[in-house]
Amino acid sequence: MFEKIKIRYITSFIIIMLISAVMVLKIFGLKAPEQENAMNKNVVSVSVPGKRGSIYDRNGVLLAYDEEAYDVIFYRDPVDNASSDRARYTQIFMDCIEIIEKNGDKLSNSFLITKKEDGKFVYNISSELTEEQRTSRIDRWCSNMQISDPEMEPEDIYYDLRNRFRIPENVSYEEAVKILSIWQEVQNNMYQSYKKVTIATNVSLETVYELETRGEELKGVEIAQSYVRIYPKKEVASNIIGYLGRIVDNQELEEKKEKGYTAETLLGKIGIEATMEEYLTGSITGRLGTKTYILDDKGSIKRVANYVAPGQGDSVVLTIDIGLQEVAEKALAENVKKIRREQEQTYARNRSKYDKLLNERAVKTLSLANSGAAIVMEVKTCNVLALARYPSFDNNLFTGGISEEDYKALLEQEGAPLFDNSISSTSTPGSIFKMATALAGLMEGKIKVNSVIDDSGPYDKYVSEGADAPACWVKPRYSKHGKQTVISALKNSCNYFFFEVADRLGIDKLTEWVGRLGMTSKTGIQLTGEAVGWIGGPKIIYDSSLPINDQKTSRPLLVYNKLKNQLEGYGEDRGVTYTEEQLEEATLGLIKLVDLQRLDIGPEIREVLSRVLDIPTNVVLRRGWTSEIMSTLIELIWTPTDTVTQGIGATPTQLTPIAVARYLCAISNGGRVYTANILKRIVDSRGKTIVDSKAELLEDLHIPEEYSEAIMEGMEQVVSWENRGTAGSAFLDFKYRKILAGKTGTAPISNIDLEDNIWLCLVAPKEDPEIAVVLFVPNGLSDSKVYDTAKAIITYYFDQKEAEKNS
Amino acid sequence: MESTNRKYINKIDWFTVILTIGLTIFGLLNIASATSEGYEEGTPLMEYIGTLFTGKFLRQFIIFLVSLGIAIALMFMNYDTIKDLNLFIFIGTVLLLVATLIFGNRQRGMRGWLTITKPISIGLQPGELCKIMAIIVFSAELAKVTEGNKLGITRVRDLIPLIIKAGIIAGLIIAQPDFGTAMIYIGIMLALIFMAKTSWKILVPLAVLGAVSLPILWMFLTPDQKARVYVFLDPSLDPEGYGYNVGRAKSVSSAGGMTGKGLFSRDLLTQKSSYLPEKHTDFIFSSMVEAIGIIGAVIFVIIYLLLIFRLFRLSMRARDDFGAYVIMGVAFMLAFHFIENVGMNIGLMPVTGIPLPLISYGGSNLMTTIVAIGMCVNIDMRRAKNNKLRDIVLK
Repeated sequence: MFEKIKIRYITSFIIIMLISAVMVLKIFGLKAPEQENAMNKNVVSVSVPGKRGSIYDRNGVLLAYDEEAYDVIFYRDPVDNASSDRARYTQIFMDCIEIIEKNGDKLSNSFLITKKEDGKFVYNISSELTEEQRTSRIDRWCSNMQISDPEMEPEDIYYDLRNRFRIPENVSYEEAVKILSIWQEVQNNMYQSYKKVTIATNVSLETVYELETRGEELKGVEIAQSYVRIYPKKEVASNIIGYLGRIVDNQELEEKKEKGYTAETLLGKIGIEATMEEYLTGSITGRLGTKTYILDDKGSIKRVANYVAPGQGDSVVLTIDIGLQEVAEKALAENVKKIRREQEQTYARNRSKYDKLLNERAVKTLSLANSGAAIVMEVKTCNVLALARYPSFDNNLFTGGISEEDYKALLEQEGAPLFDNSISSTSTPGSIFKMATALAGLMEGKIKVNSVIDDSGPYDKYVSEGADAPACWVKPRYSKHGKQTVISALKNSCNYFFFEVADRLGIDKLTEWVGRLGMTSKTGIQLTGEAVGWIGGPKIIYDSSLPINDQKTSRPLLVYNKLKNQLEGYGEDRGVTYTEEQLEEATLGLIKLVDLQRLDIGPEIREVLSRVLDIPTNVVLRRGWTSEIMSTLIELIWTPTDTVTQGIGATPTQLTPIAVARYLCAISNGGRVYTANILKRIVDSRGKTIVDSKAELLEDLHIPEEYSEAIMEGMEQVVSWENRGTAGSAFLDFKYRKILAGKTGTAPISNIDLEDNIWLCLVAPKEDPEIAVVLFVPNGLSDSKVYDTAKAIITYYFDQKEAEKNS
Repeated sequence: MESTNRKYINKIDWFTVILTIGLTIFGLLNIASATSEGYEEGTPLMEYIGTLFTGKFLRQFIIFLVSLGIAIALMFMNYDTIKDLNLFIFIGTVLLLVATLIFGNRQRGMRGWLTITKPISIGLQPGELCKIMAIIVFSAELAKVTEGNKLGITRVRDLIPLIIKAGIIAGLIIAQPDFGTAMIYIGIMLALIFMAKTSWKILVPLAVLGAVSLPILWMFLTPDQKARVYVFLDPSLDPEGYGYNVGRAKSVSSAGGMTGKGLFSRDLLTQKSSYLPEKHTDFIFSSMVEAIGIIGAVIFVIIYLLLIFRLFRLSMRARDDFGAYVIMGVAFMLAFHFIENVGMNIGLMPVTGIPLPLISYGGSNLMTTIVAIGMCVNIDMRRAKNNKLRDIVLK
């Protein structure tokens, strides 16, 4: 054996020797070049964020700014690593916490383990994370905290850490987590110990003085200058301005890192703070300053070698008038509360009637007014003057990180303050849609300014004898409006007239004009979360290319369930129990017939029933099941009656308030459709304007003056007492009633009139419109009750104008 | 029996024994130096030494004594018995690794530890201990074919049982997932195949196959491990993460100069602070270089190589093929660990969790190494008086 493989021993020997020789050479090579490297390691730079830009209203009123503030920070000399050092630092933290809390300042507590009310210790990790992310988060944390076994119980870890960081036995849990929270940050920075840890942000001057005077004994504790975001107007315009927060998404963080952001950077989350982030921020490459430290061999900071001061963010000037905004918000809040009281009274008075109606439907709770939106837009420029909504929230709550309880309270508050329904909600518009129908009719030549349509009661052109036909709202108090022109039809809000116009236009033409008026596209306002509306049409009520529970409206799902129950019933009649699969296949097969877009689908229905459920054709015919199924399916089939009702903005049409405002501007300014604009200009830190923002003209419809005047005349009569307009009495005593034009809207959305959505559109002054006002209150009672808000807005605007003229 | 034992004791290879114990004690001193506060002028010496007998040093020292005990106890057993039991050893190994996967604890993303916490806290890395068992299984498998067969291995099918068994063991370790340790197993297997007189007609295709399978193995790496390879290729990719460790290790190694700052010096960067992560485990070589200097480090390398090549010598004079293979398996295990660990410390190899045997802090590895070398000495002391004579007799 030995002789045979000697050569292999020698080969192995040579290979190992060769590798070792390379290693020895490399070890000798460690000396010179690596020492240089070690030198470089002793110079480190940290970035210093600059001041964030301010936000102003159109008159230069400050809406958001960065205020200089003091943070308490802590630097642990990496040399101090012994157990006795930890005990000393823990004592320092306790002293520090005492001083901070004594002066009423808040600590940033982020310790990963918390004790629940039942005394159980758990990881405080967002439940939105996947199991895998959660495990990796815990693993990373444990490795930072030098916990050898991440599967240890959180409670054991807590006591382990208390022990390790030498927190005295008599310290309570509440105090201990504050100390551990600081240690946690220290541990996170273990390998970059020159980065200092923040203990508390925006502390009072008392804290600063006290910490400074006790500097000697509180080793490592320092005061640093920073900025804190202030929103002086608090609740006012908080939806527009938005707030700041940290980057939570890892992927987003990676992308933003290239720009200079870090996990600690505060950046705009919603509103102008978010959309204008690139201008406002002081934390991107180019604006960040740097501080360079020299470290000694052990990693302790020796001195500051260099300091480059940071730059500043640009300031943003908005088109809104904060005075008007404030008035609008206040009035709207009062108004919604008033409507709510009225609703509750009405409900109490007619309790039996409403309870019966509630009982008939699936949703048993009554939705009453708890929110609203008010938009004021300049007609000729589409600049937003006010974008109010109720309820509001104080965006200062978000400064320095919103507390869990505050955030939960905001999320659960009635009316959803964080949801800006002026731009993010879509809703059935009802009668305020009628100007669009009128304009489309006129522009397409389907009616003339003086054409007369006779409201003869129910619009029964497409309805067979005996069935319900769409009718005018005056029923049942009167039977009909009689002969109507476009002007009187607008004044009276005569449904019949607009049914007829919509019928003459057809759904395609109507959809086209609604689109051209900018009602069903985004307005492009420079805010976050804008929704987009739509006008009803075949694809809106049922789009066969999408699954049944992924449709625009809930109607297909309702039809699906109803149909399935019907089929099950037929089975019971015949003594057959169908399987779930059979019922599903048959139901979907029947719904598919909707795609044929015609009503004579009897043979097809019978074919499906016989093929899938094995029901003979003669049985179906004898029992009249074809028409039963048909009457269910018709909900999904676009019929001429549906087209007709779109003429008055009925369901399923839905629009956003901001798009309604833009459409109102277009109607009033001769047909110019703009993007909505809320940004006036952006000014850099030296005061130079770098962006001058204007609404962009998307399309000029060139509405002939004759048409504009007719529509305006109709809208004028709406608010006129003399002409008995629908809003005539409401504005009877109003100071500026002579210059108003407008349109009311009440959109039924359920079987209970209390839940109707209410709208009010106003334009003023009527001769040469300057502002358009849109008010919207979901579930706001059966009649337009938002006159108080409208009056407050109009009064403020024209009083201001008057005052300017006089001065 | 008495006389037999005495006969064997006389044949113990004291050179190996002294080198092993010497290196271990040197390693213990390094651990103490790297994890203590350093000797301050004026402290009474005995008091200072007293402070050392705590913490990591004490733990490692106790494990060293226990390992020596196990190694000596095993000396009384004829290794033929071990060989005969190889199938049971293989089954035991697999069961132990499967148990680790099921009951093991996660540390740094790997499920490689079996721990008990009561009555005392003991953690065990089966991935380390199984190296001895694997070497026995591999050697027995090869010896079955080559014992008394002068031609060596000429047919691929003779290797198939070995490759399957090695594949199962390596697969279980990759599943932890501990890719670095699995590579050590594969390396030992390949080295043993090379040593087992395997025909070049088999070795060359095997080498090609190995090269081709590397990209496939790459897919089994965790993102974390891939990152380490990337950073190895370009440390500037992540100067504050993995690259940071390597950079710090290099600066520490170079800080001692040619002659070093001396063990227990208060000037050592490694002593206080967290300047160098894993300074007493994976990066202990760097800590050592700072203390004993470049010249000291080169001497250390030479002594370590002496131990490895001494094992070569023991293998060459072993009584039978099985014994020869086991000793070579241990020698290659030491060599692979040594090359990878020192290599990563000086930036020649990507960073893995492979310790430096006898030197790095970590009980499982120390025990494995001591017991493995003990087994080599055991095999060697049972050698025939004269190899050449034995060969002639066999012929």
